[in-house]
Amino acid sequence: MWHLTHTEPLARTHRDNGVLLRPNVPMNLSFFGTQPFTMASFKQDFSILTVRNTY
Amino acid sequence: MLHYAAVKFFAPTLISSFETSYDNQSVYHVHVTSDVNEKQTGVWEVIALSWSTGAQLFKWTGAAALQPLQSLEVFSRPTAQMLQGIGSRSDVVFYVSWKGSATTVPASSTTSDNYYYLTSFAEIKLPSPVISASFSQPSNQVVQVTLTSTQMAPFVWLQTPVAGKWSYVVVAALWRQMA
Repeated sequence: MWHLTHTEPLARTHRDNGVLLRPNVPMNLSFFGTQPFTMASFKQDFSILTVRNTY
Repeated sequence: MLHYAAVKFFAPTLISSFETSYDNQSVYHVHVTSDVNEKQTGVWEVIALSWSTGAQLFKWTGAAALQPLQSLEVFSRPTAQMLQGIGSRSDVVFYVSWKGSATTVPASSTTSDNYYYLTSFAEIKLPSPVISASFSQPSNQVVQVTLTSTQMAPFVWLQTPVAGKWSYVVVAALWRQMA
């Protein structure tokens, strides 16, 4: 049995779990902040990560 | 990252698939497992997607009814038969989804999706994707992100310095797009 206390609290998690994108099929995701924030702060270090290099 | 997976494996309804091998024949099985304490009915789909183009190569679908707390095999077929005329194991990925409904629980409790990889990623030839994102902010604590990719792109993660959590409704989105 996994113990969830060993993981990051949800409120401090900055990443989505991996999703599989299909070409030209838009995928909608939402991000819920723990506090109000500006779009500028959200986008400042926003990044899209893949594990492609390990394929 | 575990808690995002935990949300999925503790979900009230799960669709999952696996292969068995007997007498040199692999058979692909799909199960829907319900922890919902009432009967649910719904539609399952198995979709073969091309790794090279993302196109839907073939679709198997059907209806099922699950009793409370039941796990039910909804589909099984020899894998070789499924792949006939489609391609090799390294050409295809299976996407499975279940869209059920019950009387008192929300739709999110009776919806599930999953992938089944027929080979390791080392054997799959994936073209390089170009992934782009567009943003909207419906409230000062929510941002909606729309991702698009030019190619199949598994294991895409998003990162922002803002504290919070991600949520997405992939199943609903895919059902709309594939309809």
